[in-house]
Amino acid sequence: MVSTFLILAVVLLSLVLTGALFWRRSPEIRSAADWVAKKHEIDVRAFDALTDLNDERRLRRCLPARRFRHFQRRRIRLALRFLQLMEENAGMLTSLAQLARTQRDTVLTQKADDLIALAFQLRLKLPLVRLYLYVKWLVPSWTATLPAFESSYRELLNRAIQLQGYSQQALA
Amino acid sequence: MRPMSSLRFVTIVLWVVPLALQYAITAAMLRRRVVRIFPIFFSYTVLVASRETVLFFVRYSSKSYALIYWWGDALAVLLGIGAIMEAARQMIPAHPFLRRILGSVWIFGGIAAAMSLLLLFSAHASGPHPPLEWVFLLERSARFLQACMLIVVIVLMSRFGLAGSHCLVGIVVGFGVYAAAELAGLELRSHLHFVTDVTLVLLNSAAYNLAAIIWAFYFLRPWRQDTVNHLPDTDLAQWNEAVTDRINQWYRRF
Repeated sequence: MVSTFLILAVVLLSLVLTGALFWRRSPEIRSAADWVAKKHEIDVRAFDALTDLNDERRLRRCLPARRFRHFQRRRIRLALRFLQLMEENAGMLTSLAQLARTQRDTVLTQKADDLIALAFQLRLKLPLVRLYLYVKWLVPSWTATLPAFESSYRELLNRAIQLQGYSQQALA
Repeated sequence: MRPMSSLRFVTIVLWVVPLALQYAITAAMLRRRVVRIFPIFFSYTVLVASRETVLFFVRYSSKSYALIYWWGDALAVLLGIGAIMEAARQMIPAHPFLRRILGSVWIFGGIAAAMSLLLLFSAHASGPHPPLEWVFLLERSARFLQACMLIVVIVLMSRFGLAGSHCLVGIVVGFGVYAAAELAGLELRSHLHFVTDVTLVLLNSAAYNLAAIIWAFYFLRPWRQDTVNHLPDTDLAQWNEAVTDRINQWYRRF
């Protein structure tokens, strides 16, 4: 019975994802002009200011507890909005870079590959930032850190790649 | 002369339509010179079309028919899996970081798929015809593996910004629909015994027709030439730095 549920779950998931891929409604980017027209202007300094711990400490000292919580939650909502806009921009740039890769230009393809890699790295990190902001929204006075499980995974991956490199050298 | 039964008519239509479409796709891929970009998908298309053509001339109940059918099926499954991996490789740029991500996805995905296949084999229920049941089990396992790979590739596709009109999306959607439908049919037949063999064959044929129609839609229609000759300067590196800085502040190793 477990295997049946597993198989039907896989079937349902693959059909849902296939449909979603087919009928995706993200902003369509076909040229650099589309990117200029649809991009979101993001000031990174504003994001830094909204998430700065020193600013937060100052606010906690100056404001009554209830007002601080209200104000802090507004700052967090704005920071989350920034992250959403960053993600959308990264998605549009990825689409633009994929189109650039279809040109038979080695330099342009290399630049596109680098852009896609950078956008992907950014999108990998965003869930971690969001997680912390959601925790802070629930508990505005939260100042503790969260365990860095992703860096352990990164180290594990780097060691696996090193081992792969050593074994290839040994075979050669 | 006896009129053809409706079932036989449907069977013939479901057999002829994808065959014609796959010959058309083969010709289109040759004309567009994309065989070098998608060699495995091209091989898959040629194999399936050739097998069906050869089987048309071989007597149905003969040993040769069974050999050609089952060996062709096994090869088609392998090429299908290869085509999915080819789509993933085409989609992801040759950047060390991204290839590392793809490698780790395949490693962890492979482990998860192997564990799931063990579960499937251990839960195998015997039916009245053991050799046929084993064939169903192997086909079910292969389709399960294909469906799992497709889930991973589709998730990656949404992260790598491929437009819905890109032919890689078409290849993956076609395999997705076919693998999911056949897997559901095999489960209903082999484990739950809800459908007969005839219904299963018709369901598989219909699913394959849908896949062939999707592939034909992507390869036979005029391709839009979106020209991007330069990439704009962006603040992507700055955003990345800002986000990394916050992660380093908010997360600590214990």
